[in-house]
Amino acid sequence: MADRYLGFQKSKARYSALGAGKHHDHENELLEAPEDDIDLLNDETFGDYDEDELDWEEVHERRAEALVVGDNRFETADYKLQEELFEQNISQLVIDEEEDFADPAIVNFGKNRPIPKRPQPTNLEDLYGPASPPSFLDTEHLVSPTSKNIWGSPALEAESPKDQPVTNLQSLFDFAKAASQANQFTEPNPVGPRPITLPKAQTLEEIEQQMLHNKPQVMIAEDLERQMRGQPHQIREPFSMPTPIPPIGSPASYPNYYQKTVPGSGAISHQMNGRQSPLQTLLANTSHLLDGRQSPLQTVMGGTPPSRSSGSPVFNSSRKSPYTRDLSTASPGARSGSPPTVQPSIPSVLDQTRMMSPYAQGVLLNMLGGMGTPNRALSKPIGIPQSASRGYPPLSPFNSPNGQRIPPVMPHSDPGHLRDHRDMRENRYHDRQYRVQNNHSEQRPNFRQHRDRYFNKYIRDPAGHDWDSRYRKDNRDRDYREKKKGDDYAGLMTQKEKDWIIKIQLLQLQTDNPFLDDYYYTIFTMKKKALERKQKQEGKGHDPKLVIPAMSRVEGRAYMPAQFEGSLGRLTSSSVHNPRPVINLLKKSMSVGHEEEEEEEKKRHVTKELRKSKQLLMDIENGYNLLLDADDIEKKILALPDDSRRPLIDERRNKVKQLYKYMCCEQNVDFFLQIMAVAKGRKLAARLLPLLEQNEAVTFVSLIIQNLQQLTRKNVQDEGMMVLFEPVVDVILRGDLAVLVVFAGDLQLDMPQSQSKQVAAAIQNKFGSSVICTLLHQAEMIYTKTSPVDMDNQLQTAWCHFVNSFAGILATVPSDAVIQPQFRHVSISDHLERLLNKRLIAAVEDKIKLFTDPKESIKS
Amino acid sequence: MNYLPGTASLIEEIDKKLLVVLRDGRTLIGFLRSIDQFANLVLHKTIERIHVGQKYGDMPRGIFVVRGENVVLLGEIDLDNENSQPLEQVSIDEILELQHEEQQQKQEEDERKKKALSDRGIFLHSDVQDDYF
Repeated sequence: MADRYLGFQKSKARYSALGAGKHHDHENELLEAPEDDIDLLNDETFGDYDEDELDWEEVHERRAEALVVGDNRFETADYKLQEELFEQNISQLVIDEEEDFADPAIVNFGKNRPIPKRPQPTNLEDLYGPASPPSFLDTEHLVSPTSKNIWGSPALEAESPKDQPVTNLQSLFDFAKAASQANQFTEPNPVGPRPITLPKAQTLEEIEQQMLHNKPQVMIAEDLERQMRGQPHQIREPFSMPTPIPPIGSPASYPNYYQKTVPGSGAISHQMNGRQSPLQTLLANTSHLLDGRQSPLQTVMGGTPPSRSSGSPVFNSSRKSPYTRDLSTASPGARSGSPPTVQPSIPSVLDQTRMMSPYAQGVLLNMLGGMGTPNRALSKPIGIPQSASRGYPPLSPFNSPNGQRIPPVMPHSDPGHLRDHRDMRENRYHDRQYRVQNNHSEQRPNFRQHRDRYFNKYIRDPAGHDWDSRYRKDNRDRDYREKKKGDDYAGLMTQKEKDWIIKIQLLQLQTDNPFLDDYYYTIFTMKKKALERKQKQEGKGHDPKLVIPAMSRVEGRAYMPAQFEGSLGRLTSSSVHNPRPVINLLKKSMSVGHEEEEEEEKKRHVTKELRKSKQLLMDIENGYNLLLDADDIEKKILALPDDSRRPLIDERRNKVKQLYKYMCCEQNVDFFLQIMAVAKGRKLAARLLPLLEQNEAVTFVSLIIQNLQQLTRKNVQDEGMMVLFEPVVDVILRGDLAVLVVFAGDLQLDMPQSQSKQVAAAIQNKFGSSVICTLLHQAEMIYTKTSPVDMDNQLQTAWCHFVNSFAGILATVPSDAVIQPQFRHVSISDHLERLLNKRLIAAVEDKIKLFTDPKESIKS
Repeated sequence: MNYLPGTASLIEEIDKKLLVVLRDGRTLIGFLRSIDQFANLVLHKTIERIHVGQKYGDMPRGIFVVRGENVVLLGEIDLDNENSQPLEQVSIDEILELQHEEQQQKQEEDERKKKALSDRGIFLHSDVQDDYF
């Protein structure tokens, strides 16, 4: 049988093997592995379904009995009358469904999904998620989160807007009527969309009412089947699918699926108290109508006239024969119960299936019957307890239109929990049957609940499909929450989609060189981590390391965009790593042109000076480059494991030395002074100083101090030199007495042309006074810490001498000229007392206060 | 935020009521439903709000899909305070009229300035696009 169907399908093969019909071609292409799903469905559906056999058989029989009453009315009616009724009802049901399928512009547009225009706002996309998955945007190595998830939209959300069912039913009945008129279903699309474009809109309630009151409608469908089969309509056929009508749009190319869904639909019909069957037939029959293009249904239907009779036996001989038998028995009984619950849901499903792939549609249809056709995308946990099902809120998650893939199940959210709830299911089924039977006169909203319960109960989880459960878990609770808030459209974007986007964004941020590409963010995170670490463990304080992520690739070559041969010019293929170059900038040479020699002397001087200053700046810049290189290397060192650090450490050392030599310029003090005259140069020195080793640092500081007078004089602002203060202080504090003496000597080194002593000048400058203060402080520290024996006498003498002279100068300088040092040390007074005689101390006492004011003193 | 600390992403703005200003000067207010890596936006229940002076008018627009490059800025709307603005809402027709008037006035002003400048020998070439006010 399966082969037959297959062959049948293939004979119509204008479509890809995967495609059931043009309408669904693209959908099929989008599907990754529909076959897997189909197989699963089959296993799940039919493997488990057997156990419920008994249940629905009984129920069917019960239904059959109940429905027998209604049959007669229609049967006795005139054929014409029937047809009129039929048409009437259909017209009332269908709204504006077929236009788009008839639209010549898109009929043959196999690749695209038709976008149906609806006069009424339908929430299909909201219900079932984005029709176009983000998989269209195929980022490299990234898989769209919805590429496998498209069919996650639960068909179970039959809580479609009222209009949904209308549409489908209309088309259904239209087709049925048309078919009956033609009395033979010869063409695939005999009547086309013509009879279906009836724009009358009806609410679900009205339709349900109609259906309730016009029970024969169901019979009409069955009649149609029979008619199509060429049998008199009065004859009550065993209720079976007349043709192997797969659920709407089920891909005919999945023969297994195709085959299996047929019995599934039978099962569905049975589930729906047999009501499903006729509708399903109609569904199937009209699905192609809906499409306006060939569908698997069509292929079936196209060949149906001749093969219909064979179709049914095919169907009947499908492996679930008990189903068919039961269906047949149930068919007459498929009257009572809650027709509204069934019919609206089916059209709604139909409608939605149009938007989905055939596979999904098939699944949807399967799920109509509430059978355990757990399409992994569509399965719903059945964990709705009996008690809750009644009181299921009308604004249930099923109602919510947005891309809620799987309606949340309130009490039982664990998919695994539902797996073995056969008993529950059975019980619920029984209860539902009773309830449904009694409920057809209930209010409208309850029908939705019924439908929901149907779906809830009979969808079982597939066996361990990760993405599905993940999907569900992602969305269920959140969606429920969001619905609760009243924003029905919330959650349109699934977590997967969000993750996908974030993944892309993260990918764009990946870099081999974080310090280069994203310096500030890198430093920011490092600081934050250091802070965290500090908070966590006070003890282990070491420098924050930047751990370069392992995934960074070492790439030496510059990124070369793809180049095409034979193309005129360079094609722009830019990406985030390679933004398009707009202009090729040429390096401008710093040197001024030769024209200046022709200019006046004045100008020449000016330009020369300009050039000189520029040159100076350039030199400072070069110095900075060295410094920055050293910094970079240092950071790399920190990041790398210890072994590979060696060469980098050496390299860094070299760079620092280079810079040091450059700055010190032993030959040219002027140059040093020039550099120091520029703020940037000072800053450079300040940054260099900590990197130097002690002896180098001392030399450097001594250089500074030697020229302190000039430096301080040249500085218009007092604070100019302060940038150097801290590093200098560090050096001093690290130094021993010898160092201090060196510095002292430097201080006392008066330039021949200077009028005043250097020390005096120093005192009058903040930097100078701070330096001196620090010197004295350090001396005191040394004195206190080391025993007199250890100290070198010579040094002591020299130092003492210095202090004396300092005090003397201090005495002479007027108080207001003395600038307060940055940090004052109380210890200085002690030191002075130690070294100076009383007289001197007295003389400088008040000024010393400036130095020793403990307000800002450093606690040593 | 959990993935990218210290950065901003539109992910957090999803399902929020946002005010979006486009490059052509339009102001849209809607719920952000979906984004993509180019910051294209899907706005739901969108209204286009036109401001003229202290008055404004809303035009319901439905669903908008905005290409990312056309967005100047967007910001979350404070739902509590969004109605307590000193602005006065008027009907759409009225606001369109007002807007038209305002534009006309602006044009006249521009013309005047241009003329004044050209009288003084300065000729402006107004190839300025609307982006670059």
